[in-house]
Amino acid sequence: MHPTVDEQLTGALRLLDVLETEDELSTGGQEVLTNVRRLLGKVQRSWAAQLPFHTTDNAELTTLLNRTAPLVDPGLVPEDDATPPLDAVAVATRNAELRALLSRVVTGLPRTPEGDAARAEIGDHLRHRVDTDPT
Amino acid sequence: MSDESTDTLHRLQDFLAGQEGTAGTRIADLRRAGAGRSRENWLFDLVGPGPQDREPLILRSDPDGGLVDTSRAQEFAVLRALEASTLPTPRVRWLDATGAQLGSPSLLMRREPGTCDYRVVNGDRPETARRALAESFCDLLADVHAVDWRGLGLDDVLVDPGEQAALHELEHWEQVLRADQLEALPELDLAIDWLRTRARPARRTVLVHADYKPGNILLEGDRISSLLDWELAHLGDPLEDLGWVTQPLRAGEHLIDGAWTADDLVARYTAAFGLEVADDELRWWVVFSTFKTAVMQVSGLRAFTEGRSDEPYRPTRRVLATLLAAITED
Repeated sequence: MHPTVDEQLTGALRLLDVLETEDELSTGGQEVLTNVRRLLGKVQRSWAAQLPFHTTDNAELTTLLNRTAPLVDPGLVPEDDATPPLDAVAVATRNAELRALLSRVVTGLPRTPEGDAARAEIGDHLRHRVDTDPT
Repeated sequence: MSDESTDTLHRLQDFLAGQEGTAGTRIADLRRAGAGRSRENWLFDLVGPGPQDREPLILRSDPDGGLVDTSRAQEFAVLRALEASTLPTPRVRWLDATGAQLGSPSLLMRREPGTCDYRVVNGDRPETARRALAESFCDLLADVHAVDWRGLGLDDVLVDPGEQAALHELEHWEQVLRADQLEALPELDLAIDWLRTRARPARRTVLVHADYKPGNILLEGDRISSLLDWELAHLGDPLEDLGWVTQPLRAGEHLIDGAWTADDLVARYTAAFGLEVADDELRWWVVFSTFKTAVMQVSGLRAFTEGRSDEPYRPTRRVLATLLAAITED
C-alpha cells in the first residue's frame, strides 16, 4: 500500500520545498518551480475524486442528453454505456464523448420554447458541473 | 551571460547593423524582462555614437506559446500611426516582421519611463489618490476611443467591421477556440449561442485597445507616461473596452470597493466620451470579455500541453462559473 499516491505527491512537494531554498535558483527557475507545485497540488487535491465525479456526471449527462438531444437529432442520444465502471481512464473518456454530444446539441437547439427550456436545463447542468468538478 | 542572452545579443547586433542610423552604436545592459504572458521581452540600451547618446529600448518577440497569436507588423503599424496622435504610446524603432533575423517576429521600441502595477488602483496609495488614478485611466480610455483613426490612416492597417463589430469579434474568437480546443467545451458553446443571438450593432466605430488595464499603463508618480501592449488593438465598438474593464473578473484591477464602482466608471466615461451606455449593450460586452478570457485560457492550455509554454493555463472554475452565471441569468 505504501507509498500511497498521496504520500508520493506529498513527498514530491516536499522535495520541491528543498529545491526552493537553493540560493542559486534563478528567477526563471523559481517560476518553473511554482508552476510544478501548482500542477502537483491540483493533482493531489483531485485525483481521488475524479472517478466518482466522472461517474456521476456521466449519469447526469446521459439523462440530460436523452431529454434534449431529440430536439436536434435523435442520433445524438447516447448509446447504452458499456464502460467498465472502475476503469478511471475509460470513464473519463466516456465523459469527454458525452460532453462532445452535448456541444453538438447546444449548437443545434431550435429557437423555440422547447429549445429555450433545453438551454436552461443544460445551463443548470453545466453550472453544477463547474461547481463540483474536482480537477 | 547565458547561452540564450548571447544568442539574442548576436542576433540583435546583426539586425541593428543593417538598420539606418545605428552606425557607431553598441548594445549595453541586455537583459530579459520579467515573464510576459504573451511576448518575450528583452531590455537593453543602444549606446553611441556620441559619448552622451544612450537610447533605452525593448525588443518584443513572439514566444513559442502565448495566450494570443497576433501580428508584430500590425502592432508596429498601429504604434507608428499613433505617434502622430496625442496618446502616450511608445515610439517604435524597427521591425522584423517575419523573424528572419531575430529568430521570431519582433519589434523594437523605445523603453518609456515609469513602472507598471496591475493592482495600483487597489495598492498602497490613499483612497483619494487611487480614485484619482482610476479616473485618469478612465479618461485615457475615452481618449483612445476619441482618436481620429481615419485621419491617422489606421483604416489602412486595421479592418473596419462597421456596425457588425460584435459579431466580427465573436467570430474571430470562436475561430481561435476551434483552432485551439483540445476537447468539447459545451460551456463555451452555450456562451457562443447566447452571444450570437444577442449581438447588437455598434453605434460608433473607434480604435479599441482590447487589453486595457493598469498592468499595461506606465506611471511616473501619479502621471501616466505610456499606454502599452497594442497587439490586440483593432477597430470596433467602444463598449468592447468598457465591457473589458467593468467585467467582474477584472474588478480588482479597475474598481475600488465602495469608492469607484462600475457605475462610476461608466458615468465618467459617458461624460468624457459623450456616448450614452445602455445596460444591455454593455452586458453583452461584459459576457464577451469573460468568453474571450476563457478562450485565451484554452489557447494557453494547448500551448502548455504541446510544450510551447511553461505556464499551466486552463479554463478555470472562476472564469467558467462567471460566464455561465452571466448567460443563465435571463
